[in-house]
Amino acid sequence: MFRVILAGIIFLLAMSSHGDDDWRFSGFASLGAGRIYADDQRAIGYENEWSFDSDSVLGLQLDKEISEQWGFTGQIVANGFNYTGEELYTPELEWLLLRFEPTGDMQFRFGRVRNPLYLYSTTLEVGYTYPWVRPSANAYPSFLDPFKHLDGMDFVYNTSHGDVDVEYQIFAGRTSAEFRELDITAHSVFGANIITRWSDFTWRFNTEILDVSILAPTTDPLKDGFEAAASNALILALSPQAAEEFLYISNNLESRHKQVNYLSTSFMWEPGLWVLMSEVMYFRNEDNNFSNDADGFYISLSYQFNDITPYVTYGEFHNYFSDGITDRITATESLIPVGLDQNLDGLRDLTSASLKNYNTEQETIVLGFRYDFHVQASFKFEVEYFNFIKNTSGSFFVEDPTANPDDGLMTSFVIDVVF
Amino acid sequence: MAGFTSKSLTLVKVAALASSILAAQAQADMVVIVNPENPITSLSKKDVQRLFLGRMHQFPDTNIKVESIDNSESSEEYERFYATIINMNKSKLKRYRAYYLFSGKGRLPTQIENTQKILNYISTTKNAIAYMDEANINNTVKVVYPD
Repeated sequence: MFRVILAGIIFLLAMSSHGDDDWRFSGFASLGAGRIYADDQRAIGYENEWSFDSDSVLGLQLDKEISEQWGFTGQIVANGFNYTGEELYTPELEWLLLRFEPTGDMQFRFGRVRNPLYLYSTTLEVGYTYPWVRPSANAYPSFLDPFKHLDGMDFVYNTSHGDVDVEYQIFAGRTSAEFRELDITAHSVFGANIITRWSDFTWRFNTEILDVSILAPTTDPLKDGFEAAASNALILALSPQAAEEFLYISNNLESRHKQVNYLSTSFMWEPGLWVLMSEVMYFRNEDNNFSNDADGFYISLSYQFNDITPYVTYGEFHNYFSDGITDRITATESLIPVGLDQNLDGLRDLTSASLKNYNTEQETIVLGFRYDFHVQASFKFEVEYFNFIKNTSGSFFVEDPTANPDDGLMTSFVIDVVF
Repeated sequence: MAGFTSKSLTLVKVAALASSILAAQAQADMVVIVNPENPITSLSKKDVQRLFLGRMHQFPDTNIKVESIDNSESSEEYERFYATIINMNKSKLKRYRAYYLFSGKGRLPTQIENTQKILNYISTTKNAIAYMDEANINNTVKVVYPD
């Protein structure tokens, strides 16, 4: 629906823009390539040979100052990689907003706005604005992708306290997206974001509360299996307590309206030609059953030698999926011992294994450089080493889940342009 | 011979001193101007930075919305203003501007590619602000930085 609205708006804007100086048309593009170095591994669409899609993107933006107080921004982005299963380079609406500025220091924005989850939330696809090929997956984890924009509104207030500039933002909205065959909806998102700038320092703090539902077709048979076990005559006769526990597990394999708390902070220090920056994210479900808890961070240092800026980044990511429910499944083995019912044993093993698949832990090191070869274009090259922790494969996908690789390597380069 | 060397060294020193004075003068020559009817009489360097980086959209202690004016990106004045007063080199500024533009925050400075046209625009636009080499200004505009 949004795409239809967008097409209409862009058409109207384009038709009336002829010769009007208040219209501003701009855009950005990245042409990237990357590969990893193991036959059975994949990561963000890269495989054991060079390919050109995952870091490639094209975005177009239209801005219009409607009046002294009202403005419009629309942006569509065609991405060479997505988690939605849609065809690559399908245009997505990333911004579509009306901006109202009652005074020069405050803005209300209505429509589709970016969720300020990170320092580079607003320019996730605009590679030119950040130093690396792509932001660190440790603080920009893929599972937050469905929440990157909100349909709702925000309010931004700019002020200063002495030499310190502060930007306060509060926001509210909803969003939904497909993510690796899961249907994810944030029924409501409320939060605040503060950016403080003083001298060479920038500090950002964000907190938000999300009401999230996840529809997962792969867990439905597991849910049904535990429901059947709960009403199984043999199990009821052997241990009514186990039957109760199976019903509890069944109910909790459905994830609707779970409250999630998200916190993140960013820090940047830019003394002269050096830049030191770091971001930390913290994602917690109130519920500890069918849920995802994660935290991650990176720290990155760069130095600009004329047009060339080498950088090094270290980061860590820890994702704990459904630890609570996995423990409860294991605990039922003391009530209904393994070996008594093959179907039940299979169900318990399969459920624990499939939930465990979502657990990922890793540390990564990136070495790379950015070359500003033109005032509107840059070239970046980087090598990222992934050390997978605790028998997981981090942000990599491994064909054979029992393979448990210790590490992974990714090389990528990109040309970023703004126009 | 020794006397000659010492004399040349002195000459070199004088030349170096003269060029550094000239360079300092060249930097001091950049001024920030507004319309004479604008109630603002002076701006701090910090305020000038806020206005041209889009962190403040109105003149301090007023409710007058600002329209900031940029000279051509290839002009010497553009580069000198952002390097010396805003403290941003060209590539950092370009990254910042791209970040600002694609963040849905709205208007970037209006670009007017000629000093005379900028002067005319400021003298007829009450809420506009621009920068210029002091040598090019006249009494149709008011200098607010340095005060």
